[in-house]
Amino acid sequence: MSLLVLAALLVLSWTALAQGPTGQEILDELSFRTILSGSGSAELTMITENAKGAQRSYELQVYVRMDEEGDAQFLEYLAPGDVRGTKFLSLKPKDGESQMWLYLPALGRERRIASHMTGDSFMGTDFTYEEIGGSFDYEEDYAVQRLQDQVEQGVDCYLLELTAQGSAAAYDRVLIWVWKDKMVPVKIEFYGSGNVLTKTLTLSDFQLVSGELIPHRVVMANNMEGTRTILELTKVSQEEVSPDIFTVRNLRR
Amino acid sequence: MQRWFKLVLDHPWVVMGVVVVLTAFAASFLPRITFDASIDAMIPEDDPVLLELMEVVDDFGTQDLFLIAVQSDNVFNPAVLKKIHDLAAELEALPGVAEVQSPFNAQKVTSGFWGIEIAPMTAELPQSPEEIEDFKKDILDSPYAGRLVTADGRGAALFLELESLSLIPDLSELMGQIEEIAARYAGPEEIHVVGDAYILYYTERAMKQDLLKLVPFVVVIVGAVLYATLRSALGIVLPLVTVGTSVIWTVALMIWQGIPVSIISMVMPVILVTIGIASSIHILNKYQEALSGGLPKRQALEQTFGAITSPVVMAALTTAAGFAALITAFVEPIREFGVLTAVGVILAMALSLSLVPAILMLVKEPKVRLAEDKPAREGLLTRILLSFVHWAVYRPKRLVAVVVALLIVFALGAGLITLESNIVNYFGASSPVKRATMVIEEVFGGSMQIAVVLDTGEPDGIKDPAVLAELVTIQEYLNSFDTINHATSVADVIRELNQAMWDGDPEFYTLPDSPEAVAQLLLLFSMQGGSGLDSLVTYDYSRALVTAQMKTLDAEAMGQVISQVESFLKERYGAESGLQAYLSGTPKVMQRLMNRYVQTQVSSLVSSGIMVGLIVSLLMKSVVLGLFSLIPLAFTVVVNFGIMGFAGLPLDAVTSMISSVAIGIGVDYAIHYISRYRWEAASGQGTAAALERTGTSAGRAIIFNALALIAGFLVLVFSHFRAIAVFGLLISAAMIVSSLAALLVVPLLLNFSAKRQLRKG
Repeated sequence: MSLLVLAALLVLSWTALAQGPTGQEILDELSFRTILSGSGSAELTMITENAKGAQRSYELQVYVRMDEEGDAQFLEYLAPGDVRGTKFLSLKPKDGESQMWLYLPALGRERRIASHMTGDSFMGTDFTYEEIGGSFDYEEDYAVQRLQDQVEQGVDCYLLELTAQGSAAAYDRVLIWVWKDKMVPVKIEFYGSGNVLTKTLTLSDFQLVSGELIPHRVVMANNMEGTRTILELTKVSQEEVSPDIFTVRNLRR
Repeated sequence: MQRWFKLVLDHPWVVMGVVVVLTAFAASFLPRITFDASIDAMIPEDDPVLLELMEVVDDFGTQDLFLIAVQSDNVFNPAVLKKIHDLAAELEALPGVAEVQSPFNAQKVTSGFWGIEIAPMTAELPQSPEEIEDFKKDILDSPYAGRLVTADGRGAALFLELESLSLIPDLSELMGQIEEIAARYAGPEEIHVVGDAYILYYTERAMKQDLLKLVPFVVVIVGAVLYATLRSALGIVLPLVTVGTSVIWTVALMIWQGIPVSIISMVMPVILVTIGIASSIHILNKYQEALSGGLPKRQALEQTFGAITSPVVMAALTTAAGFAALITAFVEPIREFGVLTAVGVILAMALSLSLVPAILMLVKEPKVRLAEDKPAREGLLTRILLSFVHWAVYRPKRLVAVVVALLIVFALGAGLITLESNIVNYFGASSPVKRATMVIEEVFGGSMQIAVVLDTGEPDGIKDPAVLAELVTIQEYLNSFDTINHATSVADVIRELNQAMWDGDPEFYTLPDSPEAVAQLLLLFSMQGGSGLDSLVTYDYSRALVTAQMKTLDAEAMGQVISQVESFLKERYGAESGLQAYLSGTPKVMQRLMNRYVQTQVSSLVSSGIMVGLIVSLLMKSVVLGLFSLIPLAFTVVVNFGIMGFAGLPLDAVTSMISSVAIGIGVDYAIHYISRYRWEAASGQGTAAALERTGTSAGRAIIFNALALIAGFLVLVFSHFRAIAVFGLLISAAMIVSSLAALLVVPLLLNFSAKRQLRKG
């Protein structure tokens, strides 16, 4: 091997070192914790905003359980008063059909509601069920590439570009800003067909909960419709929730 | 003035140069011409009815319907369904189209064993007989029966929702695409497009076509008239150059002021060309007369303009006054048209007194035909004109009796006049938009949207079941009219959801009994991805909308329906109800316009009468003569309204201008007659002799002038717009009536006043 080639190799590896981790390495290390991922419970405020900036605010108690049997969610509306006591149960067994149930206290009735395909709006908000559950499964459907680092929300960030591979991907392109120090995303932009910005997710107010960094304020802006959904965590617990919560019987209680 | 003509005749090239430069400058504006035929543009921007509509649009989105209807023997046929499906898909793909509601994607609430679902009517295009049968049952059982598919299965409709106008770069391009797509899918099925935006596009295109057709046409007609009267190339070119220049200047002024061409100002070029040539004819006649008297060119021109200036100015001022009186109109384009045409008339006058002498100075004097020796004394026309004078002088009582009788008859006819403000009705019955509107209304119950806003004044007020019950009451009230169909509101959504909560039992298609139940059903709706609430209720649930489809009616019927609905709302939602309700939508704006046509008519009539009377009085230095010149016009106006009433021609934006225009133009005949009479009477002959001479000489000129104007105005009959064609006919009739009235009534009055003076003296 000539000296020249050796020198070239050295320069190349040195450059790679200076650049730090690759996109794939960052993605692998990234800690994706949104509000409803993992098991636990939370109290949160959900604000939906229309294109004119008018808002509707709800307070919710949320229980989540993820285990080998599947995912389960139980939501109860605490406010405003006219929907207080409205409860929603979603069961997604690993093997078997998803089920969703709704209990309307003013009618004293619970009814099964047709379960949505993944990709549909969560509770009529700007989030999809997938996004709210934190199950961004980017690795399968996207190729990742690291772009020039940027400062976002006042912190140094890696910038990742995910490009859709195959037709299963929900978006054509996704940009993720990752807080270098904490390895959590602070902003995600979703681009639809024609490279049009469709949605922007902003995560902030990170707080440690049982040793994990969890964003306490999550805003999803629908750039097409001009609407926004704001989730603010007020109480979070990572304590295991009893499976008894996630039953149709519990809706009426 | 003499000094002015000296200046012009000394420096004809300078005058030419200035006019050419100004015209070139003005012509540079012409490519920026814009068109606007919208109803909204007709109403002042700060009008309360329009502001109210804007507020409703702001709260609930567009209130314009855009509908595409497919008519077939049976739409429940695989091929036809596929066609409708593809048509919808292609329309939805157009940039600018936000959404297409079709029989396939219409949202339905169902309740099956798998749960409550809010989903499109059908997930896939039904093709097999079983699928089609299911689909047919689903949609005909749904609230969309009659709205998206007719019960007899012979028609299907697509409702287009356009993006907000700011997001559409080129609306007419979009309309052209929609038109093209609809045409491509047509056959054997009929496909009709109706929507305010489309009608606007169609109207603006018709306006452009009209202009391209009518303006050259009127130039040809007027050219022919000029040839018949003056029989020389100069006699054709000079008047046409003058009026052409004045039209270019006026249109440039309009563009510079940012005024778009409206369905009303569209007739301006035809009117300016037609009325503008008269002064040139007078000038050329007089010039030839002077030349045949043996004067050299320069002196002949000086004499001509010395004699002609005052009548030319007077005619222009009175005509301009007639048009300027339209500034009192409520309808914006009428005001613009009035002022611009007045300016055009003045500009044409200015050109007659500058450009015309300059050109005449520069060109060789025309060959003088020797004054004809047999002044058609024996001619039929002369005999008729003489008999007019004799009638007025020797049998005044009979003439008065006839005039009064005619006045009474036509005044009775005037009582039958109807009003019209719907742009669709400005087209004739054979026009595609008019036909599409009629078909769609026949099949789908209405092509216009009306809306009732119910305002509770507090957030969440609409969730009160008692308030929702009021929405149902309003819906039922609206649907009770034959001409209003498919009234809907958020109460329908609530009732559907309630039914779904109770396993789809039709007995539960009712409103729940508590606001909480309503709130929870609405939560269910939004959780299940239901959409469309934004067009029915505000985000804070303080106001809700009841919308319905309304048929295009003649103005009177529409006015009745609107005032009935309004008095119903006013009575039911008084101060003690705690609720406020009002009607809005395009039909309301149309009714507003219509009410104002009458006001436009009266105010412009009165002000043009006063202005014209004043000008004539001042110029003739006699109030009596000013009044005399108005009397034939009063007669003309009454006859015009009588004709409209008897013939069933409605008063609309275009026809409501006729009186002012007729007064402004028609007064020239009386002025002409009176001026000539004074001149003749000054020579000392008796009244009867003076009238005979006036009646035959000025009478001839008046008849020819009227015929030339009529020839020009009749060009308007070939317009796409029935309203403009009617305007052309009526204004022609008014020219006949006002010229005849001048020839009969003016001598009667002059003779009468001369006798009185004799008695006094």
